Amino acid sequence: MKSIIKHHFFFIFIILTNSLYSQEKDIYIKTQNSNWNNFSENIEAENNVRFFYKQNSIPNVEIIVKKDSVLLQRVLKESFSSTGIKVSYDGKGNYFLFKNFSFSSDIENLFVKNQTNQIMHGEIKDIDTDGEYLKTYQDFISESVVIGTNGNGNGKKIVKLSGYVTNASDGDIIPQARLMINELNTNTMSNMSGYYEILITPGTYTLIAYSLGMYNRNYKITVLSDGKLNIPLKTKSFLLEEAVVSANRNHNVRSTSMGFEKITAKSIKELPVVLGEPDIIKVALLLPGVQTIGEISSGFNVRGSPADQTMFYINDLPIYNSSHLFGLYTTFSSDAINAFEFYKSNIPIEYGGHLSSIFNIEAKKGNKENFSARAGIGPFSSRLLIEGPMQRDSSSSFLISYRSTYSDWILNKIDNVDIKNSSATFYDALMNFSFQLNEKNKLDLFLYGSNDKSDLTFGIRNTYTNTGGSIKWTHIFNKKLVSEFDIVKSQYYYNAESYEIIYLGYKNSFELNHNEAKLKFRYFLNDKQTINFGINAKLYNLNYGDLLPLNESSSIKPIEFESEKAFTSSLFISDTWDITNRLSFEGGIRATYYSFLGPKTVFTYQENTPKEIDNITDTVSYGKNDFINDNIDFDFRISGKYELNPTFSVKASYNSLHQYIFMLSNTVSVSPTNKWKLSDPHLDPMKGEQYSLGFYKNLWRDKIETSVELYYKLVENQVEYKDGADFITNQFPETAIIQGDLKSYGIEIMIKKNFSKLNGWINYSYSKAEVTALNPLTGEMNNQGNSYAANYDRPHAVNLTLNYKVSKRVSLSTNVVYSTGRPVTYPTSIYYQKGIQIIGVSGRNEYRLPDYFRTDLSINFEGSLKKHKFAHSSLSIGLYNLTARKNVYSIVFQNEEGKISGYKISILGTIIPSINYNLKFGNYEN
Amino acid sequence: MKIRVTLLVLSILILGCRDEFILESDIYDQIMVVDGMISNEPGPYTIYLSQTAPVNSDANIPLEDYIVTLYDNTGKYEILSETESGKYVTFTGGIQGIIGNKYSISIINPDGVEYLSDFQELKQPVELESVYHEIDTTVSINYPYKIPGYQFYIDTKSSSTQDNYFLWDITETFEYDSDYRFEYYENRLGMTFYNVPSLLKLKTCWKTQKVNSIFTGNTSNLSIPQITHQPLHFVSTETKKLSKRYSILLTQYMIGEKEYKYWQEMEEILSEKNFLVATQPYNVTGNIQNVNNPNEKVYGYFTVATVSKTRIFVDRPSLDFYFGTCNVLVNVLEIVDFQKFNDAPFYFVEIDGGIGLGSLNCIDCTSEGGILVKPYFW
Repeated sequence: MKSIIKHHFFFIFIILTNSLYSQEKDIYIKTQNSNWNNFSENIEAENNVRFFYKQNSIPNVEIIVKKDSVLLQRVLKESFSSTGIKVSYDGKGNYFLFKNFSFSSDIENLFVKNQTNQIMHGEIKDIDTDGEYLKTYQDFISESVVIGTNGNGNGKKIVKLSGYVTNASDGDIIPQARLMINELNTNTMSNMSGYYEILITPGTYTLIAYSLGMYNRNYKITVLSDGKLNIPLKTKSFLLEEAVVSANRNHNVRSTSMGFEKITAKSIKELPVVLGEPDIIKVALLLPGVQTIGEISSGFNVRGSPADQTMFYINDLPIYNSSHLFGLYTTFSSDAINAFEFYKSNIPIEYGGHLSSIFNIEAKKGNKENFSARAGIGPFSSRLLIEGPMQRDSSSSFLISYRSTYSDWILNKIDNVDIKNSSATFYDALMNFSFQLNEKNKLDLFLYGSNDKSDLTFGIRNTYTNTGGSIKWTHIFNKKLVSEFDIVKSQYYYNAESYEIIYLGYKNSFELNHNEAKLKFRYFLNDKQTINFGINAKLYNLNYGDLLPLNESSSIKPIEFESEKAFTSSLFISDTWDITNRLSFEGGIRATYYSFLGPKTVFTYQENTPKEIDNITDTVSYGKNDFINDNIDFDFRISGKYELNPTFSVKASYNSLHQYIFMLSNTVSVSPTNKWKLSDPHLDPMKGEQYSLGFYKNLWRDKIETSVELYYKLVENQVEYKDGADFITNQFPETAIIQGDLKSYGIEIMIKKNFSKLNGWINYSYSKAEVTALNPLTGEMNNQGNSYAANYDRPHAVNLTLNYKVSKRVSLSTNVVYSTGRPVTYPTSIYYQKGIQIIGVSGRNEYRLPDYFRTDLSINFEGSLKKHKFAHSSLSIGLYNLTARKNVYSIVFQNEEGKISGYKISILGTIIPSINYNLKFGNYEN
Repeated sequence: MKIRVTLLVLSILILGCRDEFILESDIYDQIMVVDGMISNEPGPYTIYLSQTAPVNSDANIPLEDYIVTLYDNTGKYEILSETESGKYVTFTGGIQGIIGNKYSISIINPDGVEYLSDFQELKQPVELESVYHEIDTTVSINYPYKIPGYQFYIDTKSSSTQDNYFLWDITETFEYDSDYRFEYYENRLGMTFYNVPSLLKLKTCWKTQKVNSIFTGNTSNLSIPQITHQPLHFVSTETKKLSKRYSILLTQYMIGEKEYKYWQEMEEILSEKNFLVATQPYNVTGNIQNVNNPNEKVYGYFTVATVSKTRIFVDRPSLDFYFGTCNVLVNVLEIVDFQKFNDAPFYFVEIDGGIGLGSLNCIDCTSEGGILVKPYFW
């Protein structure tokens, strides 16, 4: 209530001042030297002017005027420039002094209803100017701008207004900023170089510029002729922030994208945390269509697809293992992430090779102006991030982030020898360097590493690592053509050491190398059409390390594994075309050449027989870089949008893709120790197709976004594993694989509320994923050739996420998650062999685990909201699984006392409290 | 037993838990089960035919009136006779398992449907080197600390062939005493009886039972075809098993590769650590097939195995024991109270040098499942 009253004061105060001081004049100051208090009193007394500022917010600076007849505005600006106080003048004798905020106004237009409450001047003067308060009113304050000149261009019917949208603080261009002309109800986007063009008849309009994470900017433009207007937008200083979903308000309805979300993490403090660690990527699990097998499974299952059909990229770097600690955490420290884009339907043409979805994670860029550091302390891990400029001219920046766990230390505290000896540690680190070479060239260098080590007395020690780097050169040829050139090198490595049984002890490692070069262009044909095109080349190198005895006590016979190599190159082009204001179309084609290269020994199996070692008829050896087999495949993207009205649209799309690399896994859950495998003469690339249809409606002045999306997906040559497949010692993985069909379909309903004290979303999805693994020619099959539910098939899912700002410094957030239990194969009979009880089981995945339900709650406390102070701290307290429901992760069966017993295993099956303390030094914006 | 350690570690680490549930299933697949073996030991050999039972039952549903024929690769065959329902046995002087020969069975059900197994060879035996034990510990579900006990191991001699597949089956026998020594008993009339022979002889028992796991091993992936230090079962001091004298009879079966895989899969499916990786369970098919409909599910194995046996004895280790004992009253008031409200007879036992009131179970070792007859090999 308190803040509402203040708002009223502000309105009234402006109205009042308008009536009091309506005469327009410039004030000139004589030479003098006095302090602010005296100066302001004198000026107010001598001239008919008023200064407005918050008491105590203005330091008592010395006002030095060195010559006569200096404009008052200039005196104020110069005097306060070092203090961060911005001076605004309404042209009517009113001067506003706010911290970090200014406006040039045309206020009377905004307040049509002229109220004349009599409010004492002194009270009004003491207005609250903190950021949160002002943020609300930014939208209403517009600047008047005259564009063009009267002489030239008069008489022209259509004139062109153009310019760049930039970030006011660092001058970075802002692509895809939206420019709306209120009177015409038209929308224009800035292109990838931040450039925009609006064709318009001369006249007076209201232009509003929007961009995600920026304050809106309003202009009262009077367009006389062709002219330029560069629009600098100010970054929101997120004193209290939430993860923001979607690029901007009208995105839901207006964009051609379907099945797309952008999650921005100015701060992820309000996300419920697991074991004290906020995880932005896991927000994706609250979106419709995203599932996992369970708490400790790596990877995401998107719209009924296996985890290996989703790919994670961070700054163009592919990450093949995105999980720490078996999936409890993702390998990306949330502090260092700016945003991620998630595509599950229309996958942009520049991406290929993964059928289901793409996570495009954007790491934070360093601050170009100031050094700053932040630290986060949680019960299991801690994080540190340092950023700042590298050169004085603010043209380059760096950011370094490191996160590490100390779970080992906790394990050591537990008074049990076995637990003391077990260990599970991880760390991840990234470095992001950004160089603005000149106006047209930008260079980004990104380095990433993550590492996990675990030894949980299973008798297996694991190490797994991602390492990689990317270099990105962005070049702006002109306002119509922008290019981006990337070189990427990524490696996924793991090493396993089995020591449970001494004489069978072995070690085995695996290494996946992904090297890629990509050149892409964006060409803005006109304000209606944008063409994206490019070329990329990838080289995959998979080294299956030999299986070796662990030590001298092991009598394991070494097994040699051949490495695999493939080259793939793609050409792609797509066109986004706004045919009319309401109808848009996007089409793309991607041609991929894939070649499996030697050295390699390839077996020939007798035709129409199962691929078994006994059926090998011939062996062919290929030399280094020999072409063993190749494919040329075409991927298509077609999508369209039609707006029935500005708040309601219909979209439809078709996607086809090919995938040449997949994970070898004989388990239900995905483990980081799964190897990857390339398509080869025996294993055809997987082909995926997706049809989707969506309806999008915004309500309540775009404050509520709703959508309904339907999809139908088909995957051919889906890689499925034969019963009992073993990939540790198997030198011929094709003998353990059946290529089948995966069919999935579903409906996703989303209701989202943005922009208010209470925001969040609720969604429901119905989805089915069915696999048929049957090769009629060879007779190879799973589940007797009958189709079965995929391991991750969870038909019903409901997610609710709410954020509530209790006050400026306290916020509450909650998640409620429900889904059908995952399918399992269940015992349906018992029998005996040699006196031992044995279970016979149902058809594959014929039964289901109990439903999954979880509620999380977190409370976030901010330190004082002063913008300029040495350090800012915040504290978040999280409660995971508030209802302590024991969600069943899996069931196991054991022979005990001669009988089979069943056990339900729950993970995180209790309330898990956590506390996280975050500290930020150098409290600059962001 | 080792596996339990794993679970505890993980449960503490990720705050998971493990709850038993009643196995229930609305579907009950009725499938023919074959369980039989021919070995190099002298016959008769037995084949059991049964039908699968519902998951929550112990029922053994025999299949009667089948015709079971045992063949060897020299052309000899023998029709087995059904001595009990579902139990089909060869004649004492009939077919004998000879190393190097191959054997197969045919089963014809009362409807005339025929099932066949492949011919499998009776392999050369690999000699056992030794079966031995080492002191080890395990974390118990019941106690938060470690419980010591004996971990048993097996070594074989080096084989002349590379690929050998083993199955080890263990029967344990142990001698143990009742919880307390009998002192006297008091009848309804308050008369006391000392040195009652029929009660004194209940002190020492022997119990023989199967260890409920089958252990597998193979030499095909080893550089020297020899098994060394292969873990078998763990016997903890939470039971009386090691308290006096303990013995195991280990039976080693040398089987074919396919059957070995069958048992290995079973081991994996029934392993507790499976919860983490969650291997997809499936019906491991045996070696019996419907001749006309290979898609019909048939469970179980007709095993052709070379068998060797060995028995070892282990004396009481100098370790602390953690097994529970029956309840004995030592407080006089409690004893008086108990006698007031309960019927005679009252059994008094020796406890910590004094006398206490126990129950018959406290002095009767057979209440724990043993028998009073010393086994012939003891």
